[in-house]
Amino acid sequence: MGVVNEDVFPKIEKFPGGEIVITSIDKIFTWGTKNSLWPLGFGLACCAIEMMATMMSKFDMSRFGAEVMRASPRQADLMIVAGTVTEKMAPRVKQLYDQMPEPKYVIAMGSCAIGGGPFYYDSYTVVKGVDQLVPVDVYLPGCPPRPEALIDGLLQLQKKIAKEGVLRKKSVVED
Amino acid sequence: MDVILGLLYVVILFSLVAVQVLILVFMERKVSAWIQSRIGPNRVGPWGLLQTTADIIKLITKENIRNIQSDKVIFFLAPILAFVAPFAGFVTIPVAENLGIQDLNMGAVYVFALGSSMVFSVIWAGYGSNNRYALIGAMRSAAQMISYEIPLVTSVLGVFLIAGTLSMREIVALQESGTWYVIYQPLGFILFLVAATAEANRAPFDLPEAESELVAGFHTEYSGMKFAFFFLAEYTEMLVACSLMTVLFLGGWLIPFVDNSQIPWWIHIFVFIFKVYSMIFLMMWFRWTFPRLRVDHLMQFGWKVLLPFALVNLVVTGAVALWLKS
Amino acid sequence: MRFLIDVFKGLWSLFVGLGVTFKYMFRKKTTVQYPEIKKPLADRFIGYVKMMYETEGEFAGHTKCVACMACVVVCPVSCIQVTHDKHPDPTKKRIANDFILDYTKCEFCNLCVEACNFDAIIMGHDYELSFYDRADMDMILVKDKKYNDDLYAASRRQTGSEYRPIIAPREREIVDVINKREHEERLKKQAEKSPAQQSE
Ligand code: SF4
Ligand code: SF4
Ligand code: SF4
Repeated sequence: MGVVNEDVFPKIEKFPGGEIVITSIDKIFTWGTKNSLWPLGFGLACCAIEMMATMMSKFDMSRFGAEVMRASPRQADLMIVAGTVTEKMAPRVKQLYDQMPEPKYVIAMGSCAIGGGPFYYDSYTVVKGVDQLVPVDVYLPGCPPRPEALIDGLLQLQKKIAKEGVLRKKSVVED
Repeated sequence: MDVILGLLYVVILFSLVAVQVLILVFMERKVSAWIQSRIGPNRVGPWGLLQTTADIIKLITKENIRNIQSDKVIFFLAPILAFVAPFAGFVTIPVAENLGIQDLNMGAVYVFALGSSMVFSVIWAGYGSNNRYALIGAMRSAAQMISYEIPLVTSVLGVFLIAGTLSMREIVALQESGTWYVIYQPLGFILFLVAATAEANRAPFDLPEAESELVAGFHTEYSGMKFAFFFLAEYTEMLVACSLMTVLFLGGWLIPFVDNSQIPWWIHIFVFIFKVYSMIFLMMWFRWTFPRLRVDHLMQFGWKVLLPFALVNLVVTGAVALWLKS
Repeated sequence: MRFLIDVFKGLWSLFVGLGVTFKYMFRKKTTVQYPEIKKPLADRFIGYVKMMYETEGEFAGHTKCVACMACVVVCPVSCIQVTHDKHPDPTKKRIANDFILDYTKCEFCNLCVEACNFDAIIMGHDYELSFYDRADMDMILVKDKKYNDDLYAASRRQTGSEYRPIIAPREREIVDVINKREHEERLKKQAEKSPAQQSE
């Protein structure tokens, strides 16, 4: 975490009123995170074309503040796994995810990224679902999903972030 | 007492600049959207105005990652210098008649000197983060900034020749009654615009951070707050460059063909801000219109086109000035 | 001199580019503001697989699927599972009990719909279907109509689009008709244009 060190919350929470402080800080941070999800600019296969279409004028993901494609994983918050994850690409995907700073989110876009899709049977090269590599927040079926569907997935992710908060994200996942 | 007053000025200036940067980032995103016939951010807050605020809050929240093999001190100092250098340039820029922190009689030299020290922060960022893409970006950036520094300064020498002073306030005062220096120095103005765009590392000269070649250039390894500082620095630099352009070529706070001593100071401020924002809009317009240059083209353009033209401009201006005097 | 001409030509081309972008800045925006306004879909758009039900007769509300397993066999990724029961209609043998479609694999290829001889499944017009959990993605498409409706209401926002009742051959006919008409119009236009060109 940036300014707020994770070890600090338990200490603040012990003070009287500490809970309230943490909750209001969390609310502000959650609002910020939810409204500016910068995606990592990478695509793996045909679904990436649809992802690009989502950024373009007809659908325009920038309305939700999510058009700033960062080339460096250090500055990205959202990883859109758009396309077939092959065995060869898998270590890179994992590495890219590891390089992203917390809080980070993943959308698995398309049947391939969810569970192998068309390559589920008789394929020795395709990873059967990106959730074997990284924790996925939103699954988005389709081959490929429509751009609207991707925006819908983003909105669902925003709802999820609003629900679980940013500061306590880890504990929520562990529960 | 002076120290406290100075600190107060700095705090006020910092908050002003921060607000300007928030507005600028929002403007940049909107302009890019309009040029691409999109709508742009419109969901966060009224008309999407809080979009950049959300971005900043998010950047504060993000984890700060430092590569374990990076140079700790240099890695930490680079974003701070990147912001401080252009920010300190604001000190001499006069916003209105008697508004402006300090008028140095070598004001222009001071601003250009600070502008050149930007290159240190970029090199530090590239070297300190121990990442090969960052280092390549930094080397490119150093080459670019140093070679564009020369046409940048040479192109404004004409103005100084005509004005006969280096003090910003006096230069503006000399442009009373509509004789803006852009009329005497059209070529100088264009050269300065191009070189300033390159100095601020903006497209079409954004080679140091070319996404398609070098992951994100010199700030590849920066995340969270430190990246936010680089973000801030880019726009502050743009603000300084455009303010300089306004002061040196576009008559600062003055309204042409009007007796400016009759006009209240706050109108002058608005005039100044309007001019600066028009120049910034021009820069944004460039960014979203032109594709990025190749490295060798960039160098060729700097040395073979900009510099000769700047020198010709300087020589002709000097000759004419001498002829008029004699 | 060549150099100077090159420089000015280059400058001019830059201005032309700036002009184009400036023009676009004030054009009407093409964006369709998605969650509020939805782009109308083509009639032949293929969304998610949906179940059809008997609408009239004694067995209204029962699924049309008779568990013949044609779709299971034809599906290229084997993502359909069908279990069956005895059909209440004595003229028919079986009725589907569970029709489970695994959305983690389905690639919306329309093959199952084409294979079905009973028009029991169609490709719907829904496309918004995002899940938080992979376990939710085995969609049970059928038990009875009410169960199915509840499931849809719970799991997605209503798109308000109609189910697509036309099947492929008829659609192809329509497309052929349209193509023919367009072709004729184009011919007509050409005929109008050519005398003008001759006069030039
Ligand atoms: S889900 Fe379909 S469209 Fe997407 S990557 Fe896989 S095969 Fe391509
Ligand atoms: S649409 Fe294709 S992949 Fe999906 S269930 Fe039907 S046949 Fe299988
Ligand atoms: S959906 Fe059609 S093809 Fe598939 S089992 Fe039912 S009746 Fe047979």
